[in-house]
Amino acid sequence: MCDECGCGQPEPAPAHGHAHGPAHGHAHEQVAEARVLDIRRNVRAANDALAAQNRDWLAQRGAVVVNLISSPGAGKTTLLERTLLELRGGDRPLGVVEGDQQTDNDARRIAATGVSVVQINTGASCHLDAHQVGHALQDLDPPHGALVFVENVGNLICPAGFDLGQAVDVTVLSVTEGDDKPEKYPTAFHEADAMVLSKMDLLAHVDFDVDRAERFARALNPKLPSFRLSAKTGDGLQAWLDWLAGLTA
Amino acid sequence: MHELSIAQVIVAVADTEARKADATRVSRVVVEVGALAGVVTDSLAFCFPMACDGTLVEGADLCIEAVQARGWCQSCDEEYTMQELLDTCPTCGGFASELRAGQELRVRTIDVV
Repeated sequence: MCDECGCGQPEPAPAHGHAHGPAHGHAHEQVAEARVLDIRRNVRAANDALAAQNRDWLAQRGAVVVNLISSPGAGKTTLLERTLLELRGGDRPLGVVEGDQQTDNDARRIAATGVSVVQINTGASCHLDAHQVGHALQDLDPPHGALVFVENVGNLICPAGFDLGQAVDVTVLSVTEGDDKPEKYPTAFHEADAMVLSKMDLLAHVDFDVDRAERFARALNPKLPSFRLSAKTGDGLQAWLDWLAGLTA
Repeated sequence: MHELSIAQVIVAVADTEARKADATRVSRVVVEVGALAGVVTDSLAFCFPMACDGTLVEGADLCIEAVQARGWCQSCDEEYTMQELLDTCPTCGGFASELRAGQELRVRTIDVV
């Protein structure tokens, strides 16, 4: 039984401190012969198994999850607000899972658009994992055929390493962050299925070489679509909406 | 990143498998870590003894086997060794079309007594 929420996930082995002497690992101290056990277990297996369960659960509902990743302040929530305002009232049910260390600020913003939302607060943790997202999706209970956005914790490093059961990953980079971010944080771009260059309305005020950012993102990920847009003005939004419309279960 | 949690998972796997095999302790854990798995092996080695405390894995040696990262160049149809994701093909200087190895993170074997 998982002692975080009692959901049936096995507990890891206890790691209590005991007053043992210093640890030894020398072969000459052993009387019995050591046996070698073949294990071949992926360390990420527990999270990946839950991600696979999430994927199956979503597939049964014909629901698609888009995982949004970026550093804090790149504009994920504003992009989501604008996207939801454009898409609500259309054919497809919508839903959002918000991830932040603290506050429900983002969930409140999403709720103001009229779209269902669940907030996860991770506390000290720097990324969402499949266990948290699985529970949040159950709470959200998206209708059949829904398009669900997961807004991950603001962090350009860790979230890319944790499968949640999403259909696609989208990495958002704003023009105020510097055009060398794909080179500095390659995993977030290597693992992405699309990239959004946000806050394009500010481009004239910053030294950001759009072509360079895209060139290095594509060096890591050759077929990566890039959406240059401003959630504020709506410029470039249609191509992004069209791409989302093409995501099916 | 998260080397302590990774160490805790490694210890949990080793402890569980040792118990299943009716062993009294684990003397060695062999872990494969890909060069591009996002794991700092020094940190992992540092965290491992802390994670072992109070388990059957306490006192075990941690052997980290580094797995080379290999990329594939579509233009040359060649594989090559990579240290970083942006390392280029030695023949044509292009970027890798595909990463074929280097993200492994797994417990391969444990020695039990």
